[in-house]
Amino acid sequence: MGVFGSDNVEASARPLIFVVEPNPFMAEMERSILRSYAVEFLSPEAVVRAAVSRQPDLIIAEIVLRGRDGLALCRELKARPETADIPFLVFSVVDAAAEAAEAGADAFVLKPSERNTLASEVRRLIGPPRSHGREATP
Amino acid sequence: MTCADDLDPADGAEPLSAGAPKMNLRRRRVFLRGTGLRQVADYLAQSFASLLGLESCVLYLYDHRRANLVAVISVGRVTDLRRLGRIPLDPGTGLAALAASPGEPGGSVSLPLWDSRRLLGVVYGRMDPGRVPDPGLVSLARAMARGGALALSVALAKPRGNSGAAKARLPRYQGVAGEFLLNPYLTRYLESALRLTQPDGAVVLSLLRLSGPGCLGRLPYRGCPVPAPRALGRGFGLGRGSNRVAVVWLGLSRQDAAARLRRLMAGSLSLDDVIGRAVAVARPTSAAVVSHREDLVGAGSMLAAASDLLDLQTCLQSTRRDEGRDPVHQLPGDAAAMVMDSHVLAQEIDRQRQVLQDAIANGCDFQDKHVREISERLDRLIVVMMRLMGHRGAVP
Repeated sequence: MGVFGSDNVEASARPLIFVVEPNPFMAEMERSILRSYAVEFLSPEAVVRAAVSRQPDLIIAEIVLRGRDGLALCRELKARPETADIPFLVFSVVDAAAEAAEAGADAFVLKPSERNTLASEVRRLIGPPRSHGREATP
Repeated sequence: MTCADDLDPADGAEPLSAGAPKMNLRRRRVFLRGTGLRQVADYLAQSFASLLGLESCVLYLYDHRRANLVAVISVGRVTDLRRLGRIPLDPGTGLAALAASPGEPGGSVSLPLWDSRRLLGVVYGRMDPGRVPDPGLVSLARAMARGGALALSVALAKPRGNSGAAKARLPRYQGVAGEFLLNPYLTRYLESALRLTQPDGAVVLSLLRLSGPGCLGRLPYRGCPVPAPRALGRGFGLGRGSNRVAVVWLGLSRQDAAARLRRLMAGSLSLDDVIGRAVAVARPTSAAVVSHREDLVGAGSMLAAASDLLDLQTCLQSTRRDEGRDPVHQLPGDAAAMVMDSHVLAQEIDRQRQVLQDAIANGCDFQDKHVREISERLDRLIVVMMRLMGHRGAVP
């Protein structure tokens, strides 16, 4: 599986996280850290449309992206009424916590981080993976 | 598929008599009985996938000499073995090649599990604590497989019983796919060293990349430890045709080991002094050093981290060339030489981040090609650092 793809195992029973991450190795790392959640990797172009239609529990994005940067993405999602309430976490190589907060991001984690730093930020925003279940699709 | 507990071909012991105690697993021998090697391999692959919690698994079954591949079987998502390329670890370009084609199945690496005593747990449907493959090795293989399959290598122990008969029915493997990317003797030696070393004792692992036409074929391969009566460290080959060697240093700090490696690359210390076998035309071009306890814990973790750092070093050397920078450790006669360890990695991350921040402060936006290139390099360093942090036990 490449950068764009999803973990389908029991995906509908777990909180859904959209991740926008251009680096395949970092994506693999994030998949491993967030393995208790249903994680989908999307391109910057696809994430807005998918967020509107599927209402994920959380969006995680890098700032440095091809096509549209993560801060612009955050501003757009926070400006749309359908997606404004979806928590947005910036996980980036750029030390830009203030800029992320200004763009409306709910949390910022600088890379590299201890794996449980990212996991605990995610838990803080959307709760632990099992207690926040979505109803499985019949 | 059936299994009987009367033969463990790995340790060479005689089969137990019918009256032997059933629970004496240490001396129990395992015989997998099936209609052929494919059935045996399929059984093992499915068992490994189940016991290790793998999404997919490719199992390479070798003959007792650990030289000829006699069966390959896959279970899980991987169905087309022809698409499973092998990852070339040696040139240090495998990760970059994979990054260029993230949508493709990543490939496979061989995980040495050919001590068939470790198969007991698989055969009996559970893993005893002492028989579980080192998590570091499993994570290394999983990381290198990169979305492909985790590949496990298992060797038949002796050409007798049903395995020998079944082997005779299969065509001999033609080619060189039986490469051993990790040396099982190195793993065992390292595990023993860690087990026998005092709590505050130092065990350092170095990986060296060598260049020079003479290094191929003259270096020990396929698991042979280098005889090292005069050497400072204990050297191990990493496969036929590999241009890498591993060195284990006992009772030496990481800083001292790194200092010796710098002397080695500067030419004031010979390869013979380090690994105990003169390979006159081979020249070390890069090295990575990890230390037990100081950096991380466990043999598999040390191997995984050292391999990561050595690959990264190649990447950094080309980065320095592109940027026209001097290497961190300037050496006379070998401008590119440096020894990579966790401190150098941390310094390089700080430096690259500063370059990125400066570029942004100077007006480059996040879409700027220069910014994206720096970010990609930084990401690569950070991934290795995060793996290293994970090996340290930061992950609950």
